[in-house]
Amino acid sequence: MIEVSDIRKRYRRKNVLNGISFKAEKGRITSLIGLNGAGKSTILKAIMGLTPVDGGSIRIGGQPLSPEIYHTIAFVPDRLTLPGSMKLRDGLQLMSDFYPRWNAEKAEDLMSFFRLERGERIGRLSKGTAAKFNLVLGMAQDVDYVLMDEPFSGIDLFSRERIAEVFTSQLVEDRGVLITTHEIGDIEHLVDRAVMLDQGHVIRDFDCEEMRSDHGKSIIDVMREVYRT
Amino acid sequence: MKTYLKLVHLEIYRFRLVLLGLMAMTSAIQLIGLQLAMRDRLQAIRGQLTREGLSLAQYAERYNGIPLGEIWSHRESWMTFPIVICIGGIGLYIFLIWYRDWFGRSAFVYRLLMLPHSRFLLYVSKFTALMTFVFSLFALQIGIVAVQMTMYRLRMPDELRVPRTLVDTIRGMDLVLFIPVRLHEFLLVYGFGSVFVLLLFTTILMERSYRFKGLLAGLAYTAGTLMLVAWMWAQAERGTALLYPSELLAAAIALMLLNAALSLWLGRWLLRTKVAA
Amino acid sequence: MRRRYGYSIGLAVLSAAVLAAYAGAAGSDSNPPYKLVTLEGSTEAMKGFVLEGLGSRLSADGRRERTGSLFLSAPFDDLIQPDRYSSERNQLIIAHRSFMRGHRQDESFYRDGNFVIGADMDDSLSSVKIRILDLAGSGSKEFTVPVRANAAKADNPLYQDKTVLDIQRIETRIHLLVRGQHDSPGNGPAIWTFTDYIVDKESGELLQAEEIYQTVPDPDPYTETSVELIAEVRELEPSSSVMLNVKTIKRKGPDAARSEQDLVLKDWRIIGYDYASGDTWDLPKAGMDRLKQGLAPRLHEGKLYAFNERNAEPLIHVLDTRTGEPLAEPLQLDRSGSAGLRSIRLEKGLIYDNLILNKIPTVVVYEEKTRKVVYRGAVERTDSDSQSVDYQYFQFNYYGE
Repeated sequence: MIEVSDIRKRYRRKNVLNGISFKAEKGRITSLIGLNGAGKSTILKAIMGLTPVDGGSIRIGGQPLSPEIYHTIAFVPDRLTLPGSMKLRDGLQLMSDFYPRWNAEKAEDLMSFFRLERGERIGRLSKGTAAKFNLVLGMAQDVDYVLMDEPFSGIDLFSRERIAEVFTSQLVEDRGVLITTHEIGDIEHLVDRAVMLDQGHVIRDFDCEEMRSDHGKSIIDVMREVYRT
Repeated sequence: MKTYLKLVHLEIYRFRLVLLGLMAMTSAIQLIGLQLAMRDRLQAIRGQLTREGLSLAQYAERYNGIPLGEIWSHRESWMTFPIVICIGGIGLYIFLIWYRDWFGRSAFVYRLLMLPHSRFLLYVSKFTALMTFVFSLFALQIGIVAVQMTMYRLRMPDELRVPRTLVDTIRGMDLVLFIPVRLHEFLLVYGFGSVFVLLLFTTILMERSYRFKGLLAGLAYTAGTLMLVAWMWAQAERGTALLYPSELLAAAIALMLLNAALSLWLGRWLLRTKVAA
Repeated sequence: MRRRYGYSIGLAVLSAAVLAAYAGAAGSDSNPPYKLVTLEGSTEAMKGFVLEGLGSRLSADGRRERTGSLFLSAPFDDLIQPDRYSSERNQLIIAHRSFMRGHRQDESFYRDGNFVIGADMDDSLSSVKIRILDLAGSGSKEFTVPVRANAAKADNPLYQDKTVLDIQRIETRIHLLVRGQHDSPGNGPAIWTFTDYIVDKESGELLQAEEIYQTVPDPDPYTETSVELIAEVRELEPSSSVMLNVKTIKRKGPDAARSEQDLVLKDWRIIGYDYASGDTWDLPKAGMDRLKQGLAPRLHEGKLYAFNERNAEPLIHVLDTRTGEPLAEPLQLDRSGSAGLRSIRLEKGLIYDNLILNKIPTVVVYEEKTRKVVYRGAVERTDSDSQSVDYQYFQFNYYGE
């Protein structure tokens, strides 16, 4: 499991993360929920080592962060991570070259599923297509954890449905999934655990199934409670 | 090891068009420049022949032949301009080879930093690629002079030609500062040059870790090292320095080796713990 | 991307191949196409000497190397560039490394079998530092000797300078020959003074300061007196006396160029000074007349040598320093193929003649007493494609081991 303990981060005099702790378990989809600027992206980047933290610890499967660990996690950020001049097939080749756990077959399947053209240049993709390609890059790896930052932002409705399909059919299995989103509506029914953030603190951390059965509340209901006041 | 080589290839491949462009520009300007220089010189000589009523053989007797190195200096600016451009271009790319990963629509730096391999490989592979560019231009320059020697042989009349070997020709040109013929000169120029590249690489990483303060610290250290080495060079020429010149050289070399180690170690540490994407 | 590895590999391999070939070519090219060949005699007398020219440095034992293309590493050579006529400093630097540390370019040095003594004027021009190295092993000593001001402070000279020109040891005393220079009052023409400061070798105490000579400014603004030092040509060797070449020259007028035709020699004296006794004397007329044939006077081993290097067939005259009378028959040197390009060196009872003989750069070494040739060598070209040595003048330098 991904274990985040009391991480802090200060950026330009602002405490972006104020002692955040939570766990994301394998076989579950955990969602970080918060308004814009709550620090969700920062947390994912911290787990991926893309930004250093000022305090606290992050452990994955009990191990501290190291280059070896990144064999087991994939990150799908909200931006393209390959040079715009590259063609899609070159991008796939790069992944194959550098990621020992790259699954070329799965990549083929996903490329067909999303109907992506191999000869397209990455820089020319529309936002929706780019997001789909990002998903391919993240999900065609045989990893234990997948992190996704705003996978649905700016995507049209039908694309979103297709992506949600992928979540249910292929994604989880025995992987741990950690996503951030502020549009919880599309996948509310898929999320297992919700961690709500505000001003760099964790204000709610609950199991969604329990919340539904014991309190009769959906995630959105809790959000209204928490963020309206 | 394979990852390192693949990363080096990645860097070389990304730059291939620019490198090709620099090579084409340098070749064209230097070769055309030589043709023009030979044309001018031959014209001037023909004029002198008619005025003084000499034959080519008599001219050669009186005034000696003209070696390639001398014709080169007719269009000195044609020859040195491309070199300056290349140095400027590579110099700029010392910074761009890093910064291009950060800036732009795609965050390629995310991908590079997330690779399941030691991040230090990024540092070393970028350095290797840059050195490859430098040495490929070095090799190109040698090749261009070789081609120029052939052009010279074809165009200059036998009476005026002074046959010299490639090394001999280069030795007599100012060019020899960039393509040295002596091993210890080569080690000094390219050895010290490489260490400065390492210092700049680590400065860039300092900037990416500590922003403006980091940039300032890195640049100050690099500039300080440059001035220290220049000072040592100046001291060597004075008789009153407490260290003999050979000792100053040894000290300068030791200093640069230390700086190389420091840059590599610090760069590695910054990549591992402080750099932010 | 896999199929495009060729680009990177090609670039790297091609570059490496070109560089390797270049390195090989440069390496095998390290010998210049010239060498110094012995035509007669033994190379013993030529130990440490080199001929430099056409980008090469040749020595009599067959060693040859290229000079030049040393832009960055040149300043890092411990030895001083032997581009002056005398360069024996390099012997000191090699033999006494720690004593010479930081003092390679001090103003004057002295060496005999027992001591090495160095002297340097302080930047403030008020004292001289003397350093003595005892070759018998008891280390080195240092003294600071005060040197008096050139002119009274009230005169306020615009420019003044002092240099230690020569240093000698006579038994327990060290003599410093100091040349002072300052403008005369009212910023008139420069006045030169030559003073012998006598210092006790054991205590460092200044015993005496004896003025040997001082120039007197001429009221005529176009008349100038210049003084040239004639000291032992081998800077380090002991010499009991020293001479001053004093010429008074008048220019024809304010617009007169500095060419020789427009200068008139009004007066010429050669003043000798003996360190031990303090005597001064003028070289008698007979001797001056001999010199007036165009010979340049030099002091070596207590004798006055006079010869003209620009002469095609120079004669080396050996004169007594006090009387100006010849001590031996003049030595006739070979006719040079190129007048003006010649250098003659006197050392250890040998005369080294570096000239162009029959178009070829040649060195001939004579034993002074017997007048026999102990060495004769010439520069030969080993590769016929390279530049011919005909009429090329090679510099004769002492380079050390």
